Amino acid sequence: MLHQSLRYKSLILTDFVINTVPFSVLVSSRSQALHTAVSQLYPPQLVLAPEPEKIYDFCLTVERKWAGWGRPYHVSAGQQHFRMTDSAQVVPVFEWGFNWCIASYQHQYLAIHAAVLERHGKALIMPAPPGSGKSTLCAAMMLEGWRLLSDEMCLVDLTDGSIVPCVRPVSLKNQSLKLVQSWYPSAQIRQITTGTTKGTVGYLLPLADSWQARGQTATAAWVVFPQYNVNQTQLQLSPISKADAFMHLANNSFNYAVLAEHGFNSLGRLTQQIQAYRLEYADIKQALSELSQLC
Amino acid sequence: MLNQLLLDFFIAPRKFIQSATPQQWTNFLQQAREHGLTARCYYVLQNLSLLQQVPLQVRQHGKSAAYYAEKQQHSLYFELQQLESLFANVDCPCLLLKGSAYRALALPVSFGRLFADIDILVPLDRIKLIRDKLFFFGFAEAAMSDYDRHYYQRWSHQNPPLRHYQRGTVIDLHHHIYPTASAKKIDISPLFQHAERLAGSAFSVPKAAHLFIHAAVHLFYQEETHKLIKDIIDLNDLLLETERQQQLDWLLQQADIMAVQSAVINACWVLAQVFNNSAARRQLSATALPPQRWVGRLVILMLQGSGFSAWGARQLWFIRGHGLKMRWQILLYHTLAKPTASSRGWLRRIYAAIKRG
Amino acid sequence: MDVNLGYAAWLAQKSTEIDTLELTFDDSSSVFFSLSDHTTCINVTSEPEIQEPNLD
Repeated sequence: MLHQSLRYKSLILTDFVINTVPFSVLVSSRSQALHTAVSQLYPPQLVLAPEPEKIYDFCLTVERKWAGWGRPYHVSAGQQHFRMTDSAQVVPVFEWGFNWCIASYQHQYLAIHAAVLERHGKALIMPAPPGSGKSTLCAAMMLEGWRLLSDEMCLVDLTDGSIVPCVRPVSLKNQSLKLVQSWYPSAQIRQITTGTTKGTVGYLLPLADSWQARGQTATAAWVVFPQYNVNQTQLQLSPISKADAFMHLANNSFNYAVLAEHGFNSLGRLTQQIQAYRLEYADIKQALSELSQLC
Repeated sequence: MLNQLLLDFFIAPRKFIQSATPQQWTNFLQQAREHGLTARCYYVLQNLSLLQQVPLQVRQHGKSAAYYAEKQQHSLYFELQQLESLFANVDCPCLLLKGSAYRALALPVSFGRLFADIDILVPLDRIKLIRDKLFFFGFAEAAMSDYDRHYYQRWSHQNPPLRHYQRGTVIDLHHHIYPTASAKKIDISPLFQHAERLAGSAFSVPKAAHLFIHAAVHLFYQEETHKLIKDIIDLNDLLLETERQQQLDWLLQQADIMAVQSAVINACWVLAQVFNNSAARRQLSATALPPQRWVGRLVILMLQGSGFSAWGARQLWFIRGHGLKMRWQILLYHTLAKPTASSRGWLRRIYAAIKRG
Repeated sequence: MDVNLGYAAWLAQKSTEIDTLELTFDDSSSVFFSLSDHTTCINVTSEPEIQEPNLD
């Protein structure tokens, strides 16, 4: 019965899927504009019509409704409402909705709010709160040849401790959009939206190698806590104790508290195998060169 | 109808997983999340040793939800432990109810079952004392209008929810299992009388049959349906538990003593129809009291009907539930007084704003 | 935590079993996790061998 009702629904709504790993999403939307925008952000082999033989992890609906005054687009997962938006901001709100699904239902991994990049199979994890320059640094590193695993979600497999990629377009905000574009004129930044709750938001497309290796895990090797500081005359890269690193990682985790002793054990294993540093910098070029030497 | 896949799963898990298509699994995951039942499904599969037979993706989402449920289990135990010293000194039976009781007893119904608050039942003459003690333990009532406070005190069966200022835990302190505003007089003394003390604890828990009675009263004498599927699955599991503990005959006697036969019989009728529950069929044949089929049919329509019929059933259920919960004079007063009280508050705020300039 | 573990059994177990997990890293710093209240903290008595900052 339900199957029929969904089929009926699909006559009205256009369904498409984004086949990202480890989580895919089935999108129901009447907005052709959303499909076009998503096709700009994700490679064509990932944005497809739903395939009957596949299970999709999340379902998101983007629907125009009467209720909502100036923000008629409703983004929701089934009956669970996420947010309303006007047509100009549908793309970032959709991306946040996808993040919200992942952040709420990913306890099979220890999830840390961090950028993750890889070289020679080894992962560099950069946990940091917003405003620390993490996304900008992550974008620059990817454009310098590191493989991107994620710009904000470090997923640690609870069973084997490997770092699981979650490749998505890199969300850049405000000043960082201009900076990255000026440093790397060939960088492809799409769907720039002004006036969102987070200011101006745009998406840097991951390079082909990052997309291609989207299912390839890496081994955690370094944890660097970056802090951009305009007054920092000299770059500082200081080693920190593992116990400190452990505590900072735990504080930056989305679900360390939920996972309790499983989280403690998993994070313990990760911390055991990494070297941890604090990085304070004002000049991105210096930071890139320092990290390149370190790793 | 939005629950059909979930319901199919709980009715016959083995059959469901053998025939589910990938599309159905996609929808199943979605429905299970909406109803907070993912972890429950996970443990059903685990208990039947069926986990390896479901697709890896489904298993992983189940595991994710199970971690969350496991955390809740610890949070509940930790919270109860914090409350031990308080409840050890109140000199009256303090019963855990609903989810907290199922979990404390580790009944199969509690495996992966999520809950939002801790329900505790205490004698009416002790509720104020215990509430005041809870204030000293860091619990506070949320700000509410005078009308709502009056409503809780006079007609409800519980104190307004008490939330811990730091941990965020919410306690619902009850003195009854059913609103005192109702014309229906339910005798809850057997709950206290037969409650069993948990070893090493100040808390007690009702007998399995009483847990079933409480769940049946909650569903069949009230208007709420937003957790209908969860409520029905709970009832099914609780009746099986009552059967396991050989309390089926006693359940009918207790329903009679407490004056809740219709809730129990109607619940059994629905469980027999939906789950083909043999214990429910046995109860129906063991009692002279016939089920109110229209009541049971409304529930089944809300569960399985198409959009329009389910909607219609919900409206009827809403009116019926409110009518049962409150005597008509009180219902009328409540219907008129609540908007009046809130518009009075609204006017007062506007007036104050004008005065401020 | 085992799903079959009831509250009374949990209380009894708590009084007899080890309540804290400790993890010592190769720089000899260490952290504790309390199984009782699920808090994590640094072991302040452990003294990690912090190297000199690598300035250049």
